[in-house]
Amino acid sequence: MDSHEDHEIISRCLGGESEAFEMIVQKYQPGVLALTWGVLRNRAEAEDAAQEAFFRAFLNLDKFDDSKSFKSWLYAIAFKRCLTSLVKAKAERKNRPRIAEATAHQSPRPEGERRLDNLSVLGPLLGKLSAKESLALSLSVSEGYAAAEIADVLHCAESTARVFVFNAKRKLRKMLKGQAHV
Amino acid sequence: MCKIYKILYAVVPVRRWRNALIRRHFEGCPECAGEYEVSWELGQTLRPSWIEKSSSLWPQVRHLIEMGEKSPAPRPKSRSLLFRAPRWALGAIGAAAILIAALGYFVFVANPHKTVKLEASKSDVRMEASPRVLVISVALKGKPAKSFIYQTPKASFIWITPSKEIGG
Repeated sequence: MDSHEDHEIISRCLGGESEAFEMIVQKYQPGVLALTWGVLRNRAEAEDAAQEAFFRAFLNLDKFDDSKSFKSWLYAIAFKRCLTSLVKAKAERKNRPRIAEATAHQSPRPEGERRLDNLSVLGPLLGKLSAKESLALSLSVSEGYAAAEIADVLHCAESTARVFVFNAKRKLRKMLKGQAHV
Repeated sequence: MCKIYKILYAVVPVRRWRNALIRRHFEGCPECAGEYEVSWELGQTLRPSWIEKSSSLWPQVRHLIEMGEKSPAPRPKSRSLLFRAPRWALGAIGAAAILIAALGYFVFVANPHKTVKLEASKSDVRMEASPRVLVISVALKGKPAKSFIYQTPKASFIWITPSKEIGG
């Protein structure tokens, strides 16, 4: 399914045929999930953000510029949802002592709801990168995106996108070396 | 990655040959083999297997769509540039229009200099229409004196004053 077909599906959705949007979800779900996972590092949050991104994209289909790539537009929406999630998570972390006190008497969360932390050595290291670096690295490594395409998603200059990827790789290399010494 | 890897990657055009040569190079180069392992693991970490296996998000998305708006707003057909302009641009255009109107008011309607000029020119005309005044002599304390005649541009009268006594 190329961009021409994307535009055809979008036209159908705009014409009131909302079921056609399922094809868009099927096509871009792995990519959007990889993106949200790359930034959020939590499966449940990544799935929620991806779901929300598809919903937002559907609601704003009329604002999509036909001359641009739908994939990049969708990824930009997904990244915004990730940033919103990160802000919420940060606020929750601040309130955690109070929440912990309030829920001290409650039973522990079921296993399925627990954060999935069984990652490789790289997993926790990726969590130390900034959101933009994580996204740039994720798009570059798992999607094979070029700097121009990453810049399109991040709404920045191509050179800046290249710097994000370079910095992410440099930081990871540095952290891996640090771990090897320990 | 070492220089040999970079050269192999750049020089060998056929992908199959290139991959075979690079694989053989990795067997003998621990540096490249280590980096390859890290990049492979990075790929796996960034795109874990559950992503491909996860169930479709469409039922949840459809539920959200049904809960919210039924369908996206239809694309507006053609809007003029004025309506497509962002709000700040419209605001700037409005402010500029108000500024120009205010300047126009002060320059053409409420400018005192302009009014004075008009009045002065009117008085000049009136002066020209009125009969000429001839000063024959000026006296100060019964004695003839030098006269000083002055008329300001906006005044409709002539100011004559003795400036110095003339003896005799």
